[in-house]
Amino acid sequence: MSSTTPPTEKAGKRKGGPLLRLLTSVWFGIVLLTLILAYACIFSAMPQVRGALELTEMAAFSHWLFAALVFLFCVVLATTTWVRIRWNVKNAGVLIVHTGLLLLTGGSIWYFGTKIEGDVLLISPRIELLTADGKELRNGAMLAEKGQRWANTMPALGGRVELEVLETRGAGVEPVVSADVKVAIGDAAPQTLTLTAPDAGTQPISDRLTVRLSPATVERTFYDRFVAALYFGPAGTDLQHAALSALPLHRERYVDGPEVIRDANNRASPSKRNWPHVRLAGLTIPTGWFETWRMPIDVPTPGLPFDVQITGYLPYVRGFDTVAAEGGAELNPAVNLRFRISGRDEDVLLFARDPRESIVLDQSGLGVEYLWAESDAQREEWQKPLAGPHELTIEIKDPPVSQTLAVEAGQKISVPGTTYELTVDQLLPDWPLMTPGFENARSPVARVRVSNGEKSYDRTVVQRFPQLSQDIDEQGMRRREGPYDPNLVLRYRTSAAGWIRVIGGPAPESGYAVAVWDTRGGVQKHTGAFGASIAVSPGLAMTLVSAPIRAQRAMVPVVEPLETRRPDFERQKSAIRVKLTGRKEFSGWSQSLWLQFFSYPTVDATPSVVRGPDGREYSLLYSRQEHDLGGELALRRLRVNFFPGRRSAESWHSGFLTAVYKPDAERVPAHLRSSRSDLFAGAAVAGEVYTNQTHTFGRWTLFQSGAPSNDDWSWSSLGVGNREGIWTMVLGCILVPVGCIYAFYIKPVIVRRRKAEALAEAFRREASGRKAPVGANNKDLVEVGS
Amino acid sequence: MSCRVRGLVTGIVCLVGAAGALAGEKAFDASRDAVVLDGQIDWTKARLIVVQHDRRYKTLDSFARESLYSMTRREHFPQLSPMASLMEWLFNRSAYADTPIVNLKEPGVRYHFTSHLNSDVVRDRIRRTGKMTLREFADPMIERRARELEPRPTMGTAMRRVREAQVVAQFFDETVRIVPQPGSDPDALWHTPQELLANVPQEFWNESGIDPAALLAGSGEPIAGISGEQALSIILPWVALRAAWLSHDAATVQAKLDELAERLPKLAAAGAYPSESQRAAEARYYAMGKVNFAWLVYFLGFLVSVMALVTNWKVARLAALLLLVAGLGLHAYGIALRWYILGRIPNANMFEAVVFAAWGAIFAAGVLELVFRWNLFMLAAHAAGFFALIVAQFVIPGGGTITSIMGILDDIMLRIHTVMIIFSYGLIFIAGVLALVYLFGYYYFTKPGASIEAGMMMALAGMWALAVLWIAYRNVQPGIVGVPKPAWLTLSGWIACGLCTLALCCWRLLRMRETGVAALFVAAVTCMVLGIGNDAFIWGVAWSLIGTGVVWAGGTGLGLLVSGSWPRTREVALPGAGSMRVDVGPALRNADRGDERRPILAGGMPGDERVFFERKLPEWLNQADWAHLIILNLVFVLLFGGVILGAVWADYSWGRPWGWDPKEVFAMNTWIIYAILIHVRFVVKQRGLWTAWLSVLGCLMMAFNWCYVNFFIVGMHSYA
Repeated sequence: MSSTTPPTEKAGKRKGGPLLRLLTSVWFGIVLLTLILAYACIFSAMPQVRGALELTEMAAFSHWLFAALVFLFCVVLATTTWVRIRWNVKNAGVLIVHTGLLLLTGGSIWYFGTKIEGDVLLISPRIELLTADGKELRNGAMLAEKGQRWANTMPALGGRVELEVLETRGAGVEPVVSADVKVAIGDAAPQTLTLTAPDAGTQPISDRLTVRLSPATVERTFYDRFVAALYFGPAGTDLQHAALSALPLHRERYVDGPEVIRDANNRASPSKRNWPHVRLAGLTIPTGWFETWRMPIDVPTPGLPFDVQITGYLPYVRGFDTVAAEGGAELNPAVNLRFRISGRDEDVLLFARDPRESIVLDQSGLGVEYLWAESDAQREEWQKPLAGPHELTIEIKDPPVSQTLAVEAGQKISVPGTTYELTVDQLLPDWPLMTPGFENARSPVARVRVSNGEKSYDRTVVQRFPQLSQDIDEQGMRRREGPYDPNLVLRYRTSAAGWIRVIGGPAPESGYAVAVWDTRGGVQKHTGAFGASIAVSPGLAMTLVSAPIRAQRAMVPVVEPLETRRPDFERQKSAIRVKLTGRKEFSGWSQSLWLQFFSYPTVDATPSVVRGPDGREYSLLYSRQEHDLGGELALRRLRVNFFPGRRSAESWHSGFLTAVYKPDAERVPAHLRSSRSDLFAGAAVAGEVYTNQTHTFGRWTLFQSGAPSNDDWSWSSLGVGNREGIWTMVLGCILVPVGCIYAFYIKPVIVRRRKAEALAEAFRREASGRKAPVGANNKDLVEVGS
Repeated sequence: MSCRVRGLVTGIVCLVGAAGALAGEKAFDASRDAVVLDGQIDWTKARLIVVQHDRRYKTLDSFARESLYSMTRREHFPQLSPMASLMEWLFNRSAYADTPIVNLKEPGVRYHFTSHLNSDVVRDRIRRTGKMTLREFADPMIERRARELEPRPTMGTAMRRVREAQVVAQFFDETVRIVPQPGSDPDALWHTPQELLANVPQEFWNESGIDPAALLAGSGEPIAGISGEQALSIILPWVALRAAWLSHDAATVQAKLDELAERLPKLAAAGAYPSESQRAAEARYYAMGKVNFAWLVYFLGFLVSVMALVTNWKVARLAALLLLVAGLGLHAYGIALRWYILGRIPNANMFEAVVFAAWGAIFAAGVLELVFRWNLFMLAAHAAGFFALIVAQFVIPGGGTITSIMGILDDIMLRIHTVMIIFSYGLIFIAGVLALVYLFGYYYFTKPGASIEAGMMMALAGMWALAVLWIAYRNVQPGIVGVPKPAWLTLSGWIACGLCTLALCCWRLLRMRETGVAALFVAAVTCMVLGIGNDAFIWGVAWSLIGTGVVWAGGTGLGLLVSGSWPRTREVALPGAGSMRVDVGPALRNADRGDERRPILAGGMPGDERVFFERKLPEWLNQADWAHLIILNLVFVLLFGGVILGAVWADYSWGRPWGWDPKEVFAMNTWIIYAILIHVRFVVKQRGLWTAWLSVLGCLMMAFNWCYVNFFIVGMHSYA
């Protein structure tokens, strides 16, 4: 390579066809190196490019284009070395370097071609303190290890409680299956308990406290760092999973759906390209040959009565909002409204048939109400203007009198032709209801003092639900069973702070009506067209977004605003939207839902449960692809070294037990293997990984990957990876510098010495009158001359 | 000629040497009395008191400097020593409530923290100077703004600085953990003197007649392991110190400080308190400004080296060599002090790596200079030392503050892989300097007119970039978060860069002159910077272009002026050049001329000794090429070895040898450039020229890896 003799040395003119000349061209090699360099610069230094193409660093450098460039370079290197470099001692350096590079590249291709990387979460064995009814106490746990102590003063639970682990016993890879624990509570004499998991793992230590041994988790699988997976199956059963290799990673990509994805600042967060293509000057150029992500993605889900398709991906989800979506089993009218207040959007969800959720009242008293009218007459009735900001309707049965008038607080009203004297005591814009069935529903109310000569009582008139109006009689008794005075009916309406009613109904031709009352009681009627903005007041506008009739609640993700996104979350904050479509006899059935990401499908993960078209419940969970460890692994302990002050960790040590399965154990389902001691290749072995120290477990290498930030013992996350081809790379790596040193520092000495000898020989021949030879020695001189 | 040159260069050196002393700063009004008191105190013992702070044990002197720096961007108050400044801040802080003492570095933070202010005068003052009073800084609105800005990744560094300043400004008492925890745990949490109040025995309060209720308000449980007697032995002198400081009683201050300095180490667990010599070394290291002032020696040496190279004047050579030795000695002293204080090799963060790498490379270049006596290694060594220490002192964030390292770095590979890599980076810089020397000389002797034009074009390109920057941001202050770079700037930058690159690729078809090619190249680079960079990056590159261009064109012009002649060389056709065809005859004929002069360390690659121009280039240009090769051969092996050892470390640390982390990739990219360089020498005619250009590219790639990748690209090496 570097110190090679000129490549033309083997022949004055290079032989072979154009292809061979190309493959043995130094310029071509340089061009290839330059292309490799450019590729590496772009894909390493420009995360935007990787983001746009949905590539991780690992994927970018495992891409076929990069592999092709490297392969072509290797071909050129090998061909040139073979064809143009003479195999002799002087060229040993370049030959060694080139051989080393080929080995290094070959090893790399093997390594990265088979690379799997992930991690496994290991929970420490622990002694936990619980209340008698099984609730865990905060910070009430310690590592189940001999000599560990825990103490705390808990006056409500018996005073000072002290625990000490006297002895532990393990079995197989499980470091602790039984523990002797000394317990002391208050002044009582200490007691020693033997906790044996699982049967005698929990024992009472007082009438208020119990203590429990939680063994370490035994892991047989780990989870891929890059490849996501969808776990699915009937609820309550072991879930199958399907890898989502084509799932995007960096950008929000979703096909059109009913909901608008918004960020936490309520700005729309539209999908980026939702299938691989580039638009250029009006042309759409497919780029699927280069990009590996796809949307939508069909997920193979054998055994389910519905097909599953991934229709959306969001990388940064801050939380979920509830919206109404079609798909419910029964009539449940709902409306999604969007208000624009001083340039800011706010979403409102109302359910017409739910008293609690059919209205929102803001602090000023402005109410927004969704009503479901069964008839056009009712629809018209609900849009009538008010007599004033507050309107009271008085109906007396005997004598029949009906009167509607504007009222204000403190106003006294004498009903003509009757003995009724009414005083409007209070007009309250927001009153919480406590009546069963209406708990926490809110409404404006009017409090009216009534006197008719015979009775004198207070009536609370509820605007939205007149039937719930109640009287308090002279004795101060609240008449819950019915009105104290059935002869008088009062109805109250207000728009003192404005009022909005959205009215729907079963007649689709009538559409939706929107009535907006001003603060004086006047009403403006609008036709509720979806997407059209309705001006409510200066600075306030309303838009009808959607109004599902058979509504069900759906979770819509709220994404992280662009300016606060951190690029190092990988999939931790992501969510996917799955579309479920019934198969065969259920072909009309369809449902969409968002699933949030869980790092581990078995730890703190909550599957989403859907009712399938067959009426059964199914679980869906979005997590990472599972890989078989080929053995069992359980954490014994995590130890932490601290910096001075013990406020931050310097390094971590994880001690664990491992047992490797025999090769044929793969035929047995993973969860059944523990009970089969014949499946293990040997006894459990203690291992340890720590900062700068790995451990080999079967075909995997384990390394320290994560640890808790709030304690120094409870769990540890171990990285898991394979390293095929590593020794080929090592050999290559040794050869390259050896060859360089030879070429740079040994060959020049050889060359110079030979040159001196050749010159001396030439001068000697010249002195003796003989001619210098031309044949074989000439080659040497050519090399020397370089 | 040589006399004129000597006279000129000597004049420049004298001018630089006589460049003015800094004017003294006026003391704050609030610290006038303290200035007098400061002069009466001997801080020798007190400054060696140890504080447990920021994950390490440091001297009170270092603590004072670092804390005050994070708030004021200076290590002490004007006219006060760091220790006296610390005392003022501990005991007399209220006096500084209206002194503009908090210094906000980032313009964006200044903007956001003042947008709520009603007073135009105050707002303008803060935005202009970055200085806020303590009262202004404690405004609840500042905290609100800080909470809003903190989640933004782009504001991460700025907000970390604000938080650090807040700690010093508002919670300083809680950070002065000078009271060791007795016992056997050397890492146990230490305490502030105030926290000891809870340990003071009741009898003391009874006897002294002091009502402890007010004093103990807010203090927690008594600290386990510290007796009442021990608590009193610290609390009493501390309280007396405070009173004496406020009453300007120098004698009592001195006595109480010495008392504390004597008592505090006795409380510490074995092994926790650093040795006195270590503490003294730390105090000396900080007092000497981390010995970064050695850049002055290197700078002087650089000027003298230029004179030695140009004039071949032996006195100048000797002077430059002596300055190199002096610079290396001072440089080494700084490294040795730091090594001793840390107890580990100082190469774990940016500051340490730059200083350490520069020293290694300068030492190697010094040795090579002694061997080859070409003046070139010496010049490059001085340039590297000057540049590295300037960067260490003025550019690297934190200014070389001593910090603890993550456990993952505490490994043998820190001593092997890191040393190898940064040593190779240092040599790459040396090679870069040699490349620039070669290029300057090459163009000076072959195309002086075009060289001046190219320099001027660089300067003009820089000015053009500044003008574009002004147009793009004329209505907003650059650097303000929330004001994105205009899309037109990015788009037009990339389009223009693409067009320039396209034209460059077709320069032969377009029949362009070399000046045109150079112009296109400069334009392409500038457009790429406009397309890719943010305002700060564009600003920096623009000024670099202007500076380099002016120096380049000015240097060439000055050389022509001083020499009084116009070098005339004409390229001649060299049969076979570039075709790799070498016949025996020339090899034999030149054997006693070109080849034999080439040093064996320059490797087996053909040198540039062949006659390419009608008039031979000066000998020192050939020497520059050989010097270049000597360095590049070393770099090629060291860099590869370093990268591979890094892979070995990664394998047993992260479980995989190679993860395509940007730092790894760019180290590989740098190596690929040198691999290209080596092969290019076989197929081009002007080998020295190509080598120099590719070496500059390699140096830029290294700089990109060390600076941009370290600070702006998230990766596994982020902690480094």
